[in-house]
Amino acid sequence: MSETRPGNYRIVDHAYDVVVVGAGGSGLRATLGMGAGGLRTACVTKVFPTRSHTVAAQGGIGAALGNMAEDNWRWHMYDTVKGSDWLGDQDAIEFMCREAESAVMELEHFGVPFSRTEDGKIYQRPFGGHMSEYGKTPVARACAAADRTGHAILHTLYQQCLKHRVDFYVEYYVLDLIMDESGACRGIVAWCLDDGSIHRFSAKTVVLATGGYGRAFQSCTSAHSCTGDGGGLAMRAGVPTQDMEFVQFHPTGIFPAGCLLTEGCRGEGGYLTNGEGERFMERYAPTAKDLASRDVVSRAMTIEINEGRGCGPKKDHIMLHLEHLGPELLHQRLPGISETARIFAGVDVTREPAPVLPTVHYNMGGVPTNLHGEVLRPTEDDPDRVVPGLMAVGEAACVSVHGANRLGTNSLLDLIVFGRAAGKRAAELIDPTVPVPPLPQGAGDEIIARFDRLRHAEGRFSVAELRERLQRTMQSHAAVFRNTRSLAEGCEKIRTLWKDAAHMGLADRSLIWNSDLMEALEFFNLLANATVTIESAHARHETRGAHAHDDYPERDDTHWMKHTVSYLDDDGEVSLLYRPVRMQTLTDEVDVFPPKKRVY
Amino acid sequence: MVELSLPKNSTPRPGKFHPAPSDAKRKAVFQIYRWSPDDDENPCLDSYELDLDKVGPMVLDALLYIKDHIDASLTFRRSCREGICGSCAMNIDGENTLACLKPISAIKGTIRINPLPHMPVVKDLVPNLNGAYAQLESIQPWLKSDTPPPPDTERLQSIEEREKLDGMWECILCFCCSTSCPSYWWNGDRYLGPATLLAANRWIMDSRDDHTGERLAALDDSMKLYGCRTIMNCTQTCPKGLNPAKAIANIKKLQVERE
Amino acid sequence: MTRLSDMRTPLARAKGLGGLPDGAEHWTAERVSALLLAPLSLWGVTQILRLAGRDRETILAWAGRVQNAAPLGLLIALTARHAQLGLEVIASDYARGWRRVGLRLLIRLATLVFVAIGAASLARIIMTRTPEAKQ
Repeated sequence: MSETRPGNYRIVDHAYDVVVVGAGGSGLRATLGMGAGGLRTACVTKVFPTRSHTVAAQGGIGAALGNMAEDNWRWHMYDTVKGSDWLGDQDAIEFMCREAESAVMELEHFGVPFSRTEDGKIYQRPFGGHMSEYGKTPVARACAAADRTGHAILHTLYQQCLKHRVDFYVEYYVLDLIMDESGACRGIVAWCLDDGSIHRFSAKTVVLATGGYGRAFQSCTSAHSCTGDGGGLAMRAGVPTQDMEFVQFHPTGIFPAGCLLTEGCRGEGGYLTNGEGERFMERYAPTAKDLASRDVVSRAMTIEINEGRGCGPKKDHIMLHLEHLGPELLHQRLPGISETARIFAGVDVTREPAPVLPTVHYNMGGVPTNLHGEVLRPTEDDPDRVVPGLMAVGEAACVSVHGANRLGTNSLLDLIVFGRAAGKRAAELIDPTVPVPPLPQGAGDEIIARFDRLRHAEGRFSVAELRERLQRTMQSHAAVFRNTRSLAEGCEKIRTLWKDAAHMGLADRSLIWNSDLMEALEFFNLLANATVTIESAHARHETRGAHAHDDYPERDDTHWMKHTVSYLDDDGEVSLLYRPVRMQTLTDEVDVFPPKKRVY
Repeated sequence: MVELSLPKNSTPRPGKFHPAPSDAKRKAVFQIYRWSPDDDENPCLDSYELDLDKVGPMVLDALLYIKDHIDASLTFRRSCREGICGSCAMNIDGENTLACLKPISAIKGTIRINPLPHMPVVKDLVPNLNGAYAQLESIQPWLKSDTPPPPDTERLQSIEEREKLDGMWECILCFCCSTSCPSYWWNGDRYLGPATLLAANRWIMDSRDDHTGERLAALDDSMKLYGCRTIMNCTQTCPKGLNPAKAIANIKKLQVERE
Repeated sequence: MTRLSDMRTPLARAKGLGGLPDGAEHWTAERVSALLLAPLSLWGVTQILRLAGRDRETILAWAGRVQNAAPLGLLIALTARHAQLGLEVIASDYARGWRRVGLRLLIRLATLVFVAIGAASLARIIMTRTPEAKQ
């Protein structure tokens, strides 16, 4: 560690084998694996680890343990492939579903306070899209800690990191990746909010574990910190993102606040009704009903509202019923939900239904990786070309196991399985006895210069103003249902926003905890993610999973069974490339599931 | 140690007043503690009058409105806005709570917002919690078991054993409780405080942990545990409705059982 | 308290010196002495009210009897012990460093003096009563 002082900035240098950016579920799991595996590992995070958004995951983590009824990882794999609308890579999905059981057992051994069955095993509940015997009837597969599973897992992972004495850099905001001329990642530059110093980390590998970018939309279940920093960092470094047009709307965001009511509500027996009191999901998904996958339920709800069958005086929402489950079950299995509904909707769920609306929840897209977590920079000739020194895990990454639509409980599973896989891969690739190579001359200078320019920006638009315009645009032009005209308008508005963003002005010039500056940096990450999202959506002429296109209402496997790879340049121009879906399995213990019509 | 007056440089002075637009019908004044580390000024109390028809229902919504529309330099932590991440803990209307869970309508008159009491302030409403995090770390809050877990399956735990953890594992580490406790104000460097003791009790009560005796021995300390004077502010203030005082009482009860 | 010159890690500060490993004993003793003092004090107050206004001889004679002297002694000892424990708690809340150490020593010393005076007085009452009883 050494210190220099160019200009006004105090610069501190560090060298690590691995630097993990982000301390949510996947970041902590990766950090833990790498740290405990003998690599010098730093975890750099903009919020204290237990405040990461994994903490808000509610329903459960999917694994075919079969604690409640017979289950099989192949059924889980089939459900995930079907849920992804055949856009998921089947070898990665196989890997995730096979690893699920040991991943969950490992969490239990770490101390996660899972709810229990009568015989002392981990309690499991049904969840949307999870069925037995390749889609026949719903099965209980979501391993749950009441309705605060993410909280239980995140806190436990943090505890394990404390146990293994991990180096945390808490409340450090990562400004950019340091790339070298060969296109390899060599480290990061971060800004310490607490004292305003700049930290230059040189590392053999950087892991992006920064989560999603739900805050690009006006109404989302995501935390304020979900600003797609990983996507922004990657794209500014010339690394692409993949499948960004697929944005999941969770059917039950509480109306109007947008806070999440878990799908576990419906897993425990809750159901939806429209303004006429009808259980309309029976019409849209005769078998799975309310437990169809999220894109299906969100679309059905939106159709009901659009056709005038919404609830309330403005007919603008749907009702979620839990009152028939009885106060005892609600208290035992869904205590957090009961609290959220009371505080944010003034509803006592033991007596009356809660108002809900499809709300932006999850980004299936992200930085493309292989199933070891290594980041890809695909070209026309080589769709699987690896970026040396860069990995990505969790919601920030696109492996892709979620394809066009993620199943509930598969996000927590994704975090743990691929966080762990990345740790194993890093241990294979990195020799801790070799010193960390020094950074190239002048590394990070341009990053600090950009930071300094933004800090002193004196344009006419405030960060909040620009961000609100971005969120409005995405909310109205990249919603549950999309069409060519609206997407084209959206793309145009985003282009204007890029021009106006050059005239941003900040009110706070300080270095210590300058949250105005941090929000400005976050805004550019949001803008980058939003731009490729809407451009990718505009280009995809079909309806698949979460991308429902009014002008192309059918899935088109001939032309569109492929991943969108989006590159973004410094002026906000997007160039798209396509990459085949991996229709192959990892082992011969299971066969590839060929595409077929998706009915729940 | 008890200090009855503020040090000279921390006495707040009156600050700026930002009136609401003249067409506002429902108005409320938010008086907010401001302090910047960049100059030698004392903290001040800035007042912002808001048109409540334009602001969401919670105190956090008001803070966000101020930051977005009136004063972008206002600094506070926030993240999940649904009471699970524990970022926006602050003292609102004299009570430590989460800004995202506190309805504006629940407060009469001027809404006074201060950082969590008795912690070093980094800037405005952002306290330095490093000491509290280190105390949490000091009780070794992770599962300790000398019995290796079964290789391919979970450790068994009965429903009754698991129920004993309820009301403890849900803690979100916002430290509203610790910073509401006079004993913690006085001896925060030696007394662990309710949040950390709640975490300690969570592991003491976990049937899968076999270091109960060692954990209790480490807490048998005139200050770490017995710094608790049964004031009960912790339970009164917990925004998640948990009961740290009961957890502390349980540890004290177990200490007696060990005699 | 964190000062600039304090460059220890937060964990080092959190662990600090640690307290005395007599927490449980101290806490239990405080409660047990309080429990015993409740009936004893009640008895003491009743006796004082009963004896109020009587002449010195009668009171000395009362105090000299074993069935009165024993609880009286216990009352003195327990009051001293309970006060000592309570004052120590106050000292640890309101003082620190060497001031706290000094205060605790003072409290213990004061307790000893209180007990010594009580014991000596009681002893003298019992001794002086013995010859009277013989007459």
